[in-house]
Amino acid sequence: MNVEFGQVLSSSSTLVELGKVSNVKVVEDVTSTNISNGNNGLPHEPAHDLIFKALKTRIESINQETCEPGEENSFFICDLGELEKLYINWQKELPMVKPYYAVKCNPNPKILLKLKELGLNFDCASKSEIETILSMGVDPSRIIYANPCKASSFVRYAQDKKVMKSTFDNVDELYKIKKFHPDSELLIRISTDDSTAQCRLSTKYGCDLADVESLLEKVKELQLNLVGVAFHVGSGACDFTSIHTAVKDSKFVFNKAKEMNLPELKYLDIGGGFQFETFSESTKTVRVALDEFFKEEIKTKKIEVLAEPGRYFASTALTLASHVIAKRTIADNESMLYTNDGVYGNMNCILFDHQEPVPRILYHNNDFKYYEFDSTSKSLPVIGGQKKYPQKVSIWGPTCDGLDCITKEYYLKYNLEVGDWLYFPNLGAYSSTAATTFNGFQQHSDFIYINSIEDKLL
Amino acid sequence: MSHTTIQDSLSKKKDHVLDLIGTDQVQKIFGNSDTEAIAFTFSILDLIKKKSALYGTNMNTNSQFYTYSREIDSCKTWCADISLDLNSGFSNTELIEFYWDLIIITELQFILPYYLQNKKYYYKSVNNSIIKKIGKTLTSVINEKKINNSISENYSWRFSGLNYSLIYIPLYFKDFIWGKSDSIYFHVILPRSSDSRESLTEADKVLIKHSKEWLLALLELASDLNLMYMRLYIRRSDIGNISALLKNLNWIGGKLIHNEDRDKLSKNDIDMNEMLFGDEEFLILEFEC
Repeated sequence: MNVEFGQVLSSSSTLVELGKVSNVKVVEDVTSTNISNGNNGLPHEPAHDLIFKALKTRIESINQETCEPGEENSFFICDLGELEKLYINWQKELPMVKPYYAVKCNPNPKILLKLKELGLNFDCASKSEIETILSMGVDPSRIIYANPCKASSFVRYAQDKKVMKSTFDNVDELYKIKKFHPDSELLIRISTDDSTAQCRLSTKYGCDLADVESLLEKVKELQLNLVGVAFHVGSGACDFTSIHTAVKDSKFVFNKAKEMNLPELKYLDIGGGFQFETFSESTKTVRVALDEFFKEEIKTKKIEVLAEPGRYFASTALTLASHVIAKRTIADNESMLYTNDGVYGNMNCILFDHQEPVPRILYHNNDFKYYEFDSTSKSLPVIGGQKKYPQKVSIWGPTCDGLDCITKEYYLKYNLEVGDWLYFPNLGAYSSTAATTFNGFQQHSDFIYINSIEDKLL
Repeated sequence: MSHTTIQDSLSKKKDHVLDLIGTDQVQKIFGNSDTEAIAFTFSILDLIKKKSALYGTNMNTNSQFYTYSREIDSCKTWCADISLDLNSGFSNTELIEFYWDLIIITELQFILPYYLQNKKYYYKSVNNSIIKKIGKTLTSVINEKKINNSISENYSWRFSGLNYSLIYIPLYFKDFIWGKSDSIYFHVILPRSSDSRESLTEADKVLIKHSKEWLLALLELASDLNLMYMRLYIRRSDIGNISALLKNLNWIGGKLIHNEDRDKLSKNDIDMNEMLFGDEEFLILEFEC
């Protein structure tokens, strides 16, 4: 029996509430909610002890009197065990969906290698991403080339490297594919309602349902190899009803292809946009939608469902530590803190991914504060007439550029000084990938690897 | 003696280029509704008056027009358009002057705004500096020798190009797009879209909505010119106009490129005129071709 979507919505208040939230992503303070409220419905807790050990070891190794330039650079702690935990959770929640990791989200070689070992496939957006994945010994059949803006040379490259799966959303692309890669296995990318997503892919990419028929006609006319349907609800979407609608729309395309006597479609690509914090809710919607529209096809293995998760795997695996390099006092208990990383460095996600990294105090007054998860707050709660967080700060990157602002207003328990450290949990998605140099501050993404499953520093 | 600002000279040169390029033939091209863009490229070897210097080499000196349009039952492509030929309408001297104008306009896109309006820094010295740089490159190309450069390869916009291009995509850009290329990079400098930053104009909205179309047109051109990467230079004041592109940058295989480290540059032994140039006005995006 099919489950009515309305029933699911009413039985899951979280879904309804999430639909109302703003589309600006606050990097979830997973740490503090976990500590105070159990795991709060999250699949697992961060490996605090190991992350702290790695942070502490690194910071203690820096002798501030004698260190070489660069030793005080910001650095990441990357938990490769977290990737494994996330994959296990993926298999638990979406066993019928094969993940193709979106390389663009974080192409760190060790992360890619770990995901390869776990058996994930890959979603590549550029020639260099394809090259990277192939150089790891991954078979081209495990790659989908999902760049929605392909020049002819890109199509030729895919043909040359025998990367068969690719998406399209317009006639021009079909002509290019016919000319340069006629045997390509094509998935038609349909647009979705991505209005609640952080990064709105459909705003630019994907065809309207109204255009599907003419595109399928063209596929038929050009005798191309249409194998499936793809959609993407946008990265960081918070209204999961769009997933349900997109699956429904995909079914429409499957039926339309059948009606037009095209070969039966065998792939449904449900895209990405999954996040750790909302994974349970979003996957619930996926399961319900698949059950409603593709139950039989999945059961009889007539279709294969795939997805393009990036953020879900990369985000919680990385913690960034950054050093306070300057301080400007504005008034009593109010100051501007400058750290050695910012939007032109590893927090580029603020500018281009709409993230709001959460600063936590790591080191102050010769003492580590990692476990004081409540040492910072975005708002200023007053408890019993007392301000719980006496220090109001804005936090800036090192470049003196007006855009290089990590947060305009935050409240801290301690009065940080130059030489103190901050850390930013869950900062693995679209962060180090886009690091740049501005006003002469070199950014090298420095990684320390740990494995929380094996409980060791690597 | 009245001093001309670089901005004044730039405007005059642009008018001159427009006069030459805006021939009836070119106007007719856009009368053809299928043509979406036109590009003109030439090699710096075209600056050599005595082509005999190039005999025995396989160096191509032919300037070329390209048009971007959709053929029947095909995708949009750039095609060399031999019906357009500046050689027939202008003398060699006029053409060489035209090429120099194009080069200087392109190079001056990187002059820092302060010097653009400042009369203290005369146009002449900057002009001479560009000519000197091109001369050095030409000599090295003809002698097939690598130029010794103290500037980091990463900031190759500072090098003179081997080829220069003028691109016109009237559907999306009201002004010319200037470009230059070495053997690897196609440096494409998008025109300033609007002086008013208070609100988006209709033209801005079209630019945002169709970013995929114009980006593809430029990528296809770069690819046809056999270049490996295209670097787009977008004025920071125009970032709003490429917001859709930036938000989807990861999806389309683009990446942000570091701005130049001017502190390090000043430590190198370079022509002082080089200090008048910089890339800090631009947000730089790189795409594979």
